[in-house]
Amino acid sequence: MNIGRLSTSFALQQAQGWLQSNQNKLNTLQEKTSTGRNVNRPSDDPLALANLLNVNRGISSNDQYLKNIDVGLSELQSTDSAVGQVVDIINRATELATQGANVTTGADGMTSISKEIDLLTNQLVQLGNSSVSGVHLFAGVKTDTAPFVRTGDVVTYSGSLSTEAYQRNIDIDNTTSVTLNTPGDRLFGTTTSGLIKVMIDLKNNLAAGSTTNTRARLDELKTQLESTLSIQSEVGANINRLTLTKDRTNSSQDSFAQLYAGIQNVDMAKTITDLRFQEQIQQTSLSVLGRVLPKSLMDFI
Amino acid sequence: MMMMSISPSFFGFNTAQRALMASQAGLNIVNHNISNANTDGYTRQRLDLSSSATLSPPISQGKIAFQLGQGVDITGVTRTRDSFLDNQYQQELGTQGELTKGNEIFTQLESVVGEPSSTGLANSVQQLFASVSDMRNNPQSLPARTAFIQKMVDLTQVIQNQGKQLIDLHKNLVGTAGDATSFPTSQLGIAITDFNSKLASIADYNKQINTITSSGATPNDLLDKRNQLVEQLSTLADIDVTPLNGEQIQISLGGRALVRGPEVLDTLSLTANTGINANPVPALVSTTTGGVNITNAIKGGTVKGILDLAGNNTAIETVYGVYSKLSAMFESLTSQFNTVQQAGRDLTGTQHPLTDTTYGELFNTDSTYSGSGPKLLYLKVNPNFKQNPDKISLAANDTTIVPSGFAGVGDSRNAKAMADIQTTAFVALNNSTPETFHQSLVARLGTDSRSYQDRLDSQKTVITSLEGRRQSVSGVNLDEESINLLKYQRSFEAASRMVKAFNEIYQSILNMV
Repeated sequence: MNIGRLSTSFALQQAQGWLQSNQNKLNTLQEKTSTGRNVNRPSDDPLALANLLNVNRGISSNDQYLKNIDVGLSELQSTDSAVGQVVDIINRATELATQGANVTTGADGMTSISKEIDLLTNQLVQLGNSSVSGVHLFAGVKTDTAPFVRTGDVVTYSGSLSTEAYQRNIDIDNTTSVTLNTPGDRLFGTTTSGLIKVMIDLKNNLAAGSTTNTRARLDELKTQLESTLSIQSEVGANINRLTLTKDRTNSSQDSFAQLYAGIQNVDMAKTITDLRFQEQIQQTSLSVLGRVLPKSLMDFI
Repeated sequence: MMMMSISPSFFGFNTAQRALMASQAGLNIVNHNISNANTDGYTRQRLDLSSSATLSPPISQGKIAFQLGQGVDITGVTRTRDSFLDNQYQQELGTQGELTKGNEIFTQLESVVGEPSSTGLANSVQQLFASVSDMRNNPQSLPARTAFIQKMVDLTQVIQNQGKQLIDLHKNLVGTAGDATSFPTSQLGIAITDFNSKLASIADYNKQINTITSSGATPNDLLDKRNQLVEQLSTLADIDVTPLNGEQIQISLGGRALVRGPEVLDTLSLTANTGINANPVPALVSTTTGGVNITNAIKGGTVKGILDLAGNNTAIETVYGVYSKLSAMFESLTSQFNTVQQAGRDLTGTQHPLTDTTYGELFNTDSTYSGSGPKLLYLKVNPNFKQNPDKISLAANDTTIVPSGFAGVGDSRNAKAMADIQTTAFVALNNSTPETFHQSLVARLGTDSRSYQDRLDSQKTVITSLEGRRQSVSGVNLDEESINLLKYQRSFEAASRMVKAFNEIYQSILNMV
């Protein structure tokens, strides 16, 4: 500033102003290096802040979706293993029925096979009541009670029916919900229909020693096996889907993290260089001021 | 050779005496200048000298007549001041005052809003919805429900804490709108009191200045002091200064004369504003001219900065603006949670309509709420749920299931409805979701605050450059004064020598007798 005549106090005032502005710059750089953050308050960079809040929201939702997916995967895996056991039971029942349908087996043999089928039916009921941390997997939405009760040849199902519109869902992204549960009546049936009916009929046919009826049950078992396998593949497909979504969410989480770091993380190398530079300026200006300011005509007269 | 028989006796002594007086006056002014080198508002003074009138009639010697000078006269002491620069400077001070105060309040506002942060409001809202999602994953789980209640409490605390800080800040700035007793201690009240007392002082100075100017002298130091007061006044509000005769001034604000010469015509005061919700800032009223509201006539200064940021300026994010926006956001959020709670069925299949005073609402409104205005500080989490988290309606009211309407404890359709609040656009929030509403609020606050900072920075440059030019005219330079000191010291010494010389001359004349 060239203003000709300079007043002494204004010169001092300006020097003070320069020192202060240098100190402010140093302070800003210091805040950046010590917090490691570019944006420490909204006015630091309003646009970056808006992005930052967006990214934060994305990260937080993704975290929750990942949590949801893990909950889903854990239930689907339990279901998968239960369905696998059902398949084993059907296979074993088919084997036994084939034996029983054979005329050479005889009445005694059929009776003992009938007992084994009875045990297998019990196993089915047990599987149908399986629960993970208090949640009954095959009870539909009525997760608090064991859905299957066997009294003699009568097996009742009290869970929600597969015909009902609603099943248990989880949200795996902002638009998609995935059904977790397989309704018990669909997988196991009851006294009046499905796998359990076939098993109980089979047990009774064997006990009655009817090879013809036993043979008829064999066909029904085959149908049950097919429908169970189709449930198994559905569950498998859902597990696949969740695993893929998990991978996708994880990678989106990575890119969010990168985005966040890009906006918020201080470029240390640059900031420290700036800091050094600013320090240099500060020192130089101090030493220049120290030389210039004390000079007065008074020293020379 | 100056021995003139017809020049008056002791003529030389008289001339030397005037020279001594002039040098002494010069020394005194140097002394005054040096003493006030660091005094705010001080204007450098200068001694005005002119050569004295010549001796009359002219002296004649034979055919030659000549005039003889009688030395030096002091013609006055001048203030070196450029009134054009003064005016410019004084006008810029209003903007400076407004921006400085505005910037100060914005800094406080930003620290209340506290974003970006991992513990701020944005985070609390995210956590709340994360806990809703957890309930949806396992509606049967009581711990998940308890966690949700805790998150509701957390969010309420965070947002109400911000609300309280904003209300405190607002009170600190302008007092409580309906309560006149709170005005004098508010920043606005203090500024107004200060403004009025400065008006009175200026009128006082006008009176003193008038007395001195009518006696013919120049009241340099009084003018400096009055000028300083005018500048302080300009920082408070954008006053206009009109010069009157005899170094008098008139101060007016928004076209209304407040001080004319030695008289105070009008002062400012604050009255309670009746429209508490529409305009939460107390009105500025000019007292003697019949209580006219002059809030909008004030276009600059600290007073304008306080009024604007407290809530008068709807074009920027203000303390009251942020408060009412946070309130709108919280009201939308909580009322929607209540609606969803009323629509569903709880863990036992029971419905809790609005008429159910125990479990019909997740968030209650405190009975002390007046019924109008921001509800932010009056909303609280219904304490009944802490004991009975099973009463939270997470299952749908399913009319296809007759007669219970309840599908089972695993039904989380209503939890989904709660989760969907996160992405619901509310009309009250300019058709945005609660989170995007908050986000744009924070971003706008940042933009406004930044704009004030930038404007203040550039205003400071303007002020500094004007101050530099002004000081270049009016400021004291100590080296210059040192030279003046030498100059007057030497001339004093020389004049003393003259006295001595004339003394010797007269002595020798006397000795001749």
